[in-house]
Amino acid sequence: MMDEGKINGVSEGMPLIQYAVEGQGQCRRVESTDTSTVDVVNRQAWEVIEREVVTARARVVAGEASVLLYYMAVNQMDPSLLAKYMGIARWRVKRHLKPGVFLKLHPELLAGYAGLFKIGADDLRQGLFMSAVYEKGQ
Amino acid sequence: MDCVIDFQHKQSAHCESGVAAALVNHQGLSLSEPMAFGMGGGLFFGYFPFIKINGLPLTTYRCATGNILKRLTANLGFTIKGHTFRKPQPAMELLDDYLSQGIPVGLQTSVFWLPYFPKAYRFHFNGHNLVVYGKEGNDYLISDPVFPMPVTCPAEDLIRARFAPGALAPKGKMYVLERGEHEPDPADGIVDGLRFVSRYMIKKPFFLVGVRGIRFLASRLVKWPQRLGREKADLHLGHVVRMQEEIGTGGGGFRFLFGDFLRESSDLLQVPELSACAAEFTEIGDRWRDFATMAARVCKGRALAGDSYGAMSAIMMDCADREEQAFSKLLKLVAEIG
Repeated sequence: MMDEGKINGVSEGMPLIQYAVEGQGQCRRVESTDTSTVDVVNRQAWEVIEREVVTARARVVAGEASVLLYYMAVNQMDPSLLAKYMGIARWRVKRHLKPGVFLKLHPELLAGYAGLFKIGADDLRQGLFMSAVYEKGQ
Repeated sequence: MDCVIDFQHKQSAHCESGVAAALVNHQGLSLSEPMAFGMGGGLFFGYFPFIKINGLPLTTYRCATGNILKRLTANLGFTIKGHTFRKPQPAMELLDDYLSQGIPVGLQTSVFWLPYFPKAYRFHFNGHNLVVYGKEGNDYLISDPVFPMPVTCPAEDLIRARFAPGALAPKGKMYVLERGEHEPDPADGIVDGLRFVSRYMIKKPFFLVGVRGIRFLASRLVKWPQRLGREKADLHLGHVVRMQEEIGTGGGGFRFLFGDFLRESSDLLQVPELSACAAEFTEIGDRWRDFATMAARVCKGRALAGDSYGAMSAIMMDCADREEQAFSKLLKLVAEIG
């Protein structure tokens, strides 16, 4: 049971420092892998993101939005944050969310988006659903 | 350019006080994380419903990012040299420059772009702090205080992390410490940290901060289910718990960490009354944690008999009462010592 908790916990089994109570009401620096309370609320936050990704994906598949909507959702961004990363105006990002506009996107902008999301420019042009930036950890 | 500075890594609960303690230690002055946190005046409470993080109201148990370091260094007689940048290139050049001179550098970064973080933590949070102590090829050697061991990060990821836009954007912020000419008495620093925090917690005439802020949140929280609907209420609740318990608080919304600071100060200043206050803060931390575990049960849909928004609000009110008492005691003590 313990091991299972460790692997699924937010810290993936990495011990964290807690200042916990010991003995006579004294605080002590302890290493702990028990993250059970945090796991619940952290999971809750991820579920919100995952729901947004599912919705975004469905809209892309239905042809209502460009694949950019999926990448924005999976990387936890909104048009204004994405615009700041790209160094362009928000209305332009919003425009790029339209499938027709996205198809004719300037190669330089496309490369910029692809670089930000850490995917190939061709993958982005073809509208493939690649994984999020944080799925490519060490 | 390859270089490695002899830098002692020590895992900490909280990033900023951990970085502060590590940088001070590197200057040859021994300082624990709780002392850095306490002398930096790190404890706080604020509930700011008009500031939204991922659409949820900002609740904070600590002072604004950067302030611990500022206050601590001032109290220790260190000077802190800080830089921010508009473009990545000069920011990375100056970093390399300091490293080649053998000076470890503190950075403010986003956690989203740091590949060594477990996936579950990778949100767009820009208030993280770490120390760079070397470079090998394209990788920077990093002492990140929340990790058990030193880590590495490729240059391009570090650039993204240093220049992440959005709330709390670091703008490439970096800082190095320099030892000042005279060394102040650590007792003054302790008294300053205590006085600052106690005043903020009970004397500020603003209803969203300190003990009044806790009471305000408690009075709002009880109405969340009716006002927001069950699902959104749970999300709001979960967000409060994350700010209180997720990575970097040492548990109980920094209250345990603060208790440890009091205990250490009590030994250092030979004031046994501080030790009694330390025990009180440990109990207060326990009450905050009672709130968090109940909240987690409610969010998970596994509420026990007696678990409710009303009960959680009552625990929070109890925390406010206890903190008000403890801080007035501390203020009196500080007046006697200082």
